[in-house]
Amino acid sequence: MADRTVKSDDTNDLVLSNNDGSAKIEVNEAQNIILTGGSTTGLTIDTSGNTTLAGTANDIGTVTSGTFNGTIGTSASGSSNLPAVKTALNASGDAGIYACRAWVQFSNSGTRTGYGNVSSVTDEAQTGQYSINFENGMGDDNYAFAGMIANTTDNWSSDSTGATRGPPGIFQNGTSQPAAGSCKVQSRYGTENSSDGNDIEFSQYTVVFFR
Amino acid sequence: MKVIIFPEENGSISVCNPTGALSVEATALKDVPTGVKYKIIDASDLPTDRSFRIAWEFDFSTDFDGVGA
Repeated sequence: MADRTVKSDDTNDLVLSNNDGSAKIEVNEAQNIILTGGSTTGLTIDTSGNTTLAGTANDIGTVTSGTFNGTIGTSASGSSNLPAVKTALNASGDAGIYACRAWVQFSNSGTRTGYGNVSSVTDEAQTGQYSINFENGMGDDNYAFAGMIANTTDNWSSDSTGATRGPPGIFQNGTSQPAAGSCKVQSRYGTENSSDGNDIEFSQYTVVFFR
Repeated sequence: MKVIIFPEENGSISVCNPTGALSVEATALKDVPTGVKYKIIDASDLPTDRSFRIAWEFDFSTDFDGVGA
């Protein structure tokens, strides 16, 4: 049996509507398809095949291709290590992705030059000791951090030599256990002479936190 | 630029540098230890010589802007 087709005439749109017109499917002469519910247009397909969802999309299933330009609501769920996300991040292989949850770059006075999810850096009186305070806490203290120190103590005028020359280090403070809301770090001399291990402040610190 | 100073247990001074993620006042309430008095000052008012950083002092007994929450 041949397909049954309903067509509008040359000048009018084709509209399938409820009694008061608040819900309708419209195929118009401008080659658009418009779906309306509750007097609000929810879906439009234009002449190029582009689709516009005006409302909230619930239970849309699996998006297999194309580009998503909307906003994902806070109640939307997804799976960990989503293949599409891994591809976008060039994260090949089976290893999962674990996010950097906070980072900060700061000077010896604790003044930040860049940051993410860090509300402040406290320069403590003890040489080379800083408390990094998170804007939003980690949830618990089971996180990892890594840090880098610029190998200069004179604000980039010279490379550190002698006692401060490699490997100087940035450490977790030995008397302050990391907390969900903050992490205390300190920096020390490298291992070359009688100053080995003494605390010292460097011109710039960069610290990242993973969880 | 504003910074928040507060006393350490040993009497020295900590200098809290807000990143700008929160207001200075909100940062002070959140990041100054609970129950500790703090003072908000201009960073330019801090000593420039850090040689004796541990010897910095400030009298918080009557001059403070709030208490860490």
